[in-house]
Amino acid sequence: MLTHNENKNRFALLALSVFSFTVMAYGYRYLSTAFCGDAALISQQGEELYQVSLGRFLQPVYWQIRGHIIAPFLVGLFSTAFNVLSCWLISRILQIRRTISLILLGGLVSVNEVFTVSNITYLPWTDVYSLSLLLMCAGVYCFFRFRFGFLASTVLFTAGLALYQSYLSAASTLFILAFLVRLLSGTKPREIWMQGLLAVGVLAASLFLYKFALAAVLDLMHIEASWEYNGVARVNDLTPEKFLSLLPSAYTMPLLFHFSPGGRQVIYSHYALIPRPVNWLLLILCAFLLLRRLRGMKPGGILTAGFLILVLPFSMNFIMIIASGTVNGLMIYAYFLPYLFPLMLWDHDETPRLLTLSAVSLPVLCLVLLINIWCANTLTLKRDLEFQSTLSIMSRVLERAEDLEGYVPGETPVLIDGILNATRMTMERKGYETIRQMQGAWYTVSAAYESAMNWYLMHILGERMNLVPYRQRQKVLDTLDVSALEAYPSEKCVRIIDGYLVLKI
Amino acid sequence: MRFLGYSKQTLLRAVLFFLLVYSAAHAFCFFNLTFANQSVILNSNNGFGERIASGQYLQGIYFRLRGGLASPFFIGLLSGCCLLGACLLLGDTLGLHEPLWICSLIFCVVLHPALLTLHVNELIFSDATSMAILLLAAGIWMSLRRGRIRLLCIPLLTVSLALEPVHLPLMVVILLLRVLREVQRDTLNPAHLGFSLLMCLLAVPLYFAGLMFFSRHFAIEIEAALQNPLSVSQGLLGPFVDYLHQASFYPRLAFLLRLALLAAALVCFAARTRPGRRLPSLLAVVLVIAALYIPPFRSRYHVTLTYNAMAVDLLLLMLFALSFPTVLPWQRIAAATVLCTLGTGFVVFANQLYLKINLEYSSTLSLYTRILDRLESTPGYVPGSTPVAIMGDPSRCPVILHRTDFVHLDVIEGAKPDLILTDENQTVWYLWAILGYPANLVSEFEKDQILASSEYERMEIFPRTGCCRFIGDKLVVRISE
Repeated sequence: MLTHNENKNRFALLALSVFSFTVMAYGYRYLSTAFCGDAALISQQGEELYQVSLGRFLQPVYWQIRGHIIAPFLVGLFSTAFNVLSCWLISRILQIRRTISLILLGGLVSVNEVFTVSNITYLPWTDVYSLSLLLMCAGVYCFFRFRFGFLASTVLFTAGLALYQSYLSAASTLFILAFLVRLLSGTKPREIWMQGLLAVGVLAASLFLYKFALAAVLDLMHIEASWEYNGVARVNDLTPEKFLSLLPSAYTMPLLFHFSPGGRQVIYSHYALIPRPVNWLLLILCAFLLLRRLRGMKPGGILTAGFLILVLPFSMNFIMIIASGTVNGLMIYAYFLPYLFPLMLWDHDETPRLLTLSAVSLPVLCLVLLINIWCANTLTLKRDLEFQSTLSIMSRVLERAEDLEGYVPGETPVLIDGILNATRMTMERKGYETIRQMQGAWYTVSAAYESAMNWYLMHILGERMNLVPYRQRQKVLDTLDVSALEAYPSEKCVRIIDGYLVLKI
Repeated sequence: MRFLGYSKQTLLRAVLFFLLVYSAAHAFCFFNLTFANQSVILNSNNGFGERIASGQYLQGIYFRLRGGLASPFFIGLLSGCCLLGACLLLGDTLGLHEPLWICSLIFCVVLHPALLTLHVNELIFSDATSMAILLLAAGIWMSLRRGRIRLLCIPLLTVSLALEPVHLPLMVVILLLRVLREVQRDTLNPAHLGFSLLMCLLAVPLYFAGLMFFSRHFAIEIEAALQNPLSVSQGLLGPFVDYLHQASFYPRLAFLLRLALLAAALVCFAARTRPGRRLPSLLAVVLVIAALYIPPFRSRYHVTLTYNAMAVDLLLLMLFALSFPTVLPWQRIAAATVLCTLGTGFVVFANQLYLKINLEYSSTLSLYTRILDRLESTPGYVPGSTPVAIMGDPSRCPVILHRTDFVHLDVIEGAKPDLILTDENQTVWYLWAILGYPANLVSEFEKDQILASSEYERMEIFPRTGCCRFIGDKLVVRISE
């Protein structure tokens, strides 16, 4: 049992670690305005119902605290605060005590591909993800800490699901890691099995509670669940046949993501960042150390450990089945939790020889962090440059539109045909080849698609334009004869047609 | 080992707390191009005459020493050092050596709308105000020493007023709070404190003497507000109403919490003051409240948006500190919860405001790029040689959208405009200092002549065709009504 002062010191160390790693990786992002893609929606006022229809009905509640304006530094502050608390809870769940382990834990939890992807393209949700993670960690912590903690866990997991659903995988992965730690520390396999079954029950109960709560909220607000790729309506389509067909890919995906040389793109639109040899090295090291630790154990213990290791990949990705096969770069936070496993083994090793061997994993984990920090900074630089170039392009494009006889700012309805990302005015910058395959990183401008273009003009440029909403854009364009228009920068790129100013880019 | 009466641990906590709240609220401003309003002149030395006219006659010298051009980060750094020093000195003066009280004082100073207003409107001059606060705190601290060294308070306070004369009421409030503390602690030495007060007030005539000298030497007329300080009136409940309505993202919650704090401070103080000390304590409190109504010499902004509005916060802080000489853990937790709620509201508000300024910077850059494009595509225009007149208020340009999502920030002066330029005269600074564009801009007199011409009246407004044309030999762009 740790004393109050020891606890305080550990918390301070973790806070310092999370803060330092966050500043190193994302400090530049949080202190700049490099908005891009979904982040161009700087004000989320009016987006509440949309988020509820996606099943994230606690997000609008959270915005009442954080505010609906996406101030980057504020997002960073909230996210860091939540990550500090998450790290603290994880250190308690996984019983991590050593100073170096705590420092690395802070880094591994707060700096990884998911937060990088989120920060560079989906900034409005970074702190939401962190809060969801915190609730999941709090749920797992309550489960182990209190006698009837499983009740609180169910509620906390439900709240986490109502912020962002895919972090439930983080909870299940944490459960597996926690059971492994307890098994290696001498807990009886029978107790592990009992607790494991209860944990599965809690996870299932939270899913059901979430389903009922969501139905009630949707009913109360008189809206339908979204059928979009990330919507919750498709969850109801999950049949036993579909479940079985998705099961193999749900199991193998995390393994291919981390270890297969040809599997860098196992996830749609997102390449894995960490080089495979690094992951293989960690895997071999962990396997060897685990086998040495299991040598003196009874068969029951060995079997339990084997089972836990076997279900680990599934626990990281089971949410994919619930999401009807959808996985993207924002849903895979649990994939990075096993990086804590070598840390756990090192932390719990008392044998001098094994301790030396397991210490090899520490520089490898430092390398993982270093790659993540490099990637986050390079991508932020890319975004910052793109923000500048978009300002330049948009100013030139607007100049063409405004110069047109008959155009009245704020009155004439404006239609923009095409997207900036696909024009001849932008190019892929050289030097970003290794990271451009990460989710959202391939955009070459801040206003990369139709909706982002509208958001950019309204929120970033503050341009008084009567823009046709992007959802109606194609419908209106189909009714107009735009054949005479040529793409920007041609002289014929802009005309007033049937009262609409049409700008072809 | 103690420093200014603080233990090593308290000092470390205070510094860390200062760094945390200062960077949480203002770091975004210091790491970005948040030059807006008066700051677009970029070089602080450019406003020398205006500074003398507004009574801040030593600011010109301060900026010569600091360097006219300073990056936002450097300004933030200087400002932070000054404010931290001021907090520690004020804390020592008022006997706030307990970690909770010194952190509360730091909270009041750093998370105050005055600092936000300064950053939004006059970022390039804001460190001078922080320096004035530091000198004010140092002057008062020095006046309470023993021996001849206390005479140093006179030059310190004179320089402080000459950097920012608006803080005179705050100076009196701090001195009276010291009186209150000594009355409560039975350590009041009327002769010593009276002499300190007298020396502090001596700085006022000295300040005016300096002002006369500077205004005569540089032949600059002093602003009307400075010549007639009594013109500023707040009403009877003014200071308390202002205290209750401070900038926050959660205005209602902040109002209720502040109201509860006000009530709690008065009740605790009344209940915990020993019967024998009640009358003198009450007298001291009444005097402090009376000092809240001293009109400032100069007020470019509403008094809520200057550090004088901090006086009520200081009074409440002092009442709490005197009521609870030793703080119990539950009291610390309760105070931390209140501070955390109020602080979060302010930090959210401040970050949203700085983001807005930054977005306006981009909007302004885009707008002026298009305006310059019109100029450059006019036949006969030679950059740097053709006289150019950009007519109209940029913030009223028809292409600029009013950002309604940020409307809740309007309680801070300078948050309302949709561009970083708030009046026509700032265009020249924006083009020269920020865009670095060699525009040969016409004089104010020539602009008046253009404004009166019938050709100008017939001109279209940007972005319509015909908004940019030659009137005589001058190329004129009309950007608003």
